[in-house]
Amino acid sequence: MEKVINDYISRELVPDPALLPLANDTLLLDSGILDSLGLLRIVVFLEERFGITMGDADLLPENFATVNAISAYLRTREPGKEAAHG
Amino acid sequence: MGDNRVPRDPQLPTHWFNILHDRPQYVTSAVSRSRLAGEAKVAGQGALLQQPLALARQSVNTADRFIPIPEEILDLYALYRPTPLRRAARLEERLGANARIYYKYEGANLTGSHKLNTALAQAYYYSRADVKHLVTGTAAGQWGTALAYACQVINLRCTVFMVRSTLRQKPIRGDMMRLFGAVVHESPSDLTEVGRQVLKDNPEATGTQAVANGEALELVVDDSDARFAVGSGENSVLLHQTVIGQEAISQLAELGEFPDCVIASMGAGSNFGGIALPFLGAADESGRSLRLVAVESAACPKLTRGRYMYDLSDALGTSPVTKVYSLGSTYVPPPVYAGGLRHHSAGPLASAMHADGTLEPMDVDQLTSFRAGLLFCESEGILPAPEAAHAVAGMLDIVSRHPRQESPIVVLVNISGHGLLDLGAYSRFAAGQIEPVHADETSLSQSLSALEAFNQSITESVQAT
Repeated sequence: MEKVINDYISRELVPDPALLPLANDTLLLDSGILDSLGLLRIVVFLEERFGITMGDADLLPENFATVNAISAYLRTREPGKEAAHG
Repeated sequence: MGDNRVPRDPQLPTHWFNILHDRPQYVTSAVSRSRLAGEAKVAGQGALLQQPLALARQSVNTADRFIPIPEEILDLYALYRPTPLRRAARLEERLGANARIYYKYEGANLTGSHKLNTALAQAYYYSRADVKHLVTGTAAGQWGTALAYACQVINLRCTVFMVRSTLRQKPIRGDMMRLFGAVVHESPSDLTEVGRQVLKDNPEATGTQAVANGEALELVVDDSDARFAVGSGENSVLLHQTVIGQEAISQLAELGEFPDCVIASMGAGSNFGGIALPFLGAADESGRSLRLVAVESAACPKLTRGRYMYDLSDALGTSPVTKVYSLGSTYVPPPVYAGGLRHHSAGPLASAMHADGTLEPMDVDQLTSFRAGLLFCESEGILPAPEAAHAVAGMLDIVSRHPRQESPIVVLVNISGHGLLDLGAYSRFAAGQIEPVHADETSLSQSLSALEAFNQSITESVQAT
């Protein structure tokens, strides 16, 4: 799971090749890798890739802080289960 | 009990038209990017997005050409839509025009303008996201009025910061918003740090949309129940407005027409996008040629004199940064009656359309717009809002330049709102007291310099990342 997410962020969202390779504990928000557009793009990617539907309550900084944090969040979700306010 | 819902007219669109499906290249250039804002604060007590996810998704959706309008919103649209489309036959005759002139009239709802189309949608989505209070900035007051009404209908609290110059020109706008339950503040105010700073620098400051937005944003930062709602510019806002163009396509088709040219005024792009985008999609699909003309105020010529750069939409500096045609967020346009056209920048989608040549910009001065607005009123019995009068002036210019030896040009102009709360301004025009106001060159020069410096700092910060 971590590799899938890391590959997507590295390929699609990292603005500067100098930031690669991306560590799974790199702070995505604080480093500016994940901006508002990037957040929306990764939400769409995660929904399609992992068969979930995310809602407003899922968009917390702690869920998107790092690749590891995204993976940990995803493990709490059951595929196909819709979030509140989705 | 029977069904007591308002019957829906078959011409009421059931979906919004999403141009991002046809032109996905607009997404990357037309979406706000918080990273570039540097010190941008996270809105809403820890939420990563200011908007509900449902609204944010609409701004990046390239998968769906049509997006279903929720039933609850359709029920509210049915109260006033479809709006009229008429041929301006008397105006054609008076002009001796080699043209067939059509207009779409968005002023015939309680709030008086097209803004209600997105206000209802946004209030619905924010309500579904458990937001209790919407806060906004408004220039001419049409957006503030629409949001106040939508909040009342959907049971949300509403606070509006209205630009001082326009609130003093049209205090009845404030009265309307208060009637709908909103709290209305003159901007700049002493309620926020942004407002206090502006007043400290200039106690007589007339206010701008950027300052009003900054005050609204400041108010929501510390209130977990509140969010900032925006009346124009965002992709989702333009999406909601596409009911205008879709209806017009259907109404013109009944008459066997498709326009050569679609014209609307340009504040940040919502009434322009609302009427133009469905026609753009239809023209792309059919291979027809089509001109899309955006008419801006000569006092705030963001498309004709602005730079295509990253900029803020507010004076606080907390809004995301977007790549837009802008005069700089510190530009203070001279007061004009078309307050809705005083925003310093076009929205990102309209800007992307200008950058690739899809949109044709035109600037019109205030005096010319009032002349056009009154002519339209005398011929058609509808008094356009000062913003819409700019579109009429642009239309008259296009029609007058059309060669007489060619086939008649078919034009469609969006009358985005009525001017019944602008009678004072029209009276001054009739009395010869309206001047053709142009850009404030001193403020413009300073603001463009600041904009260029801001972009240089962004470049440096990205390179340093």
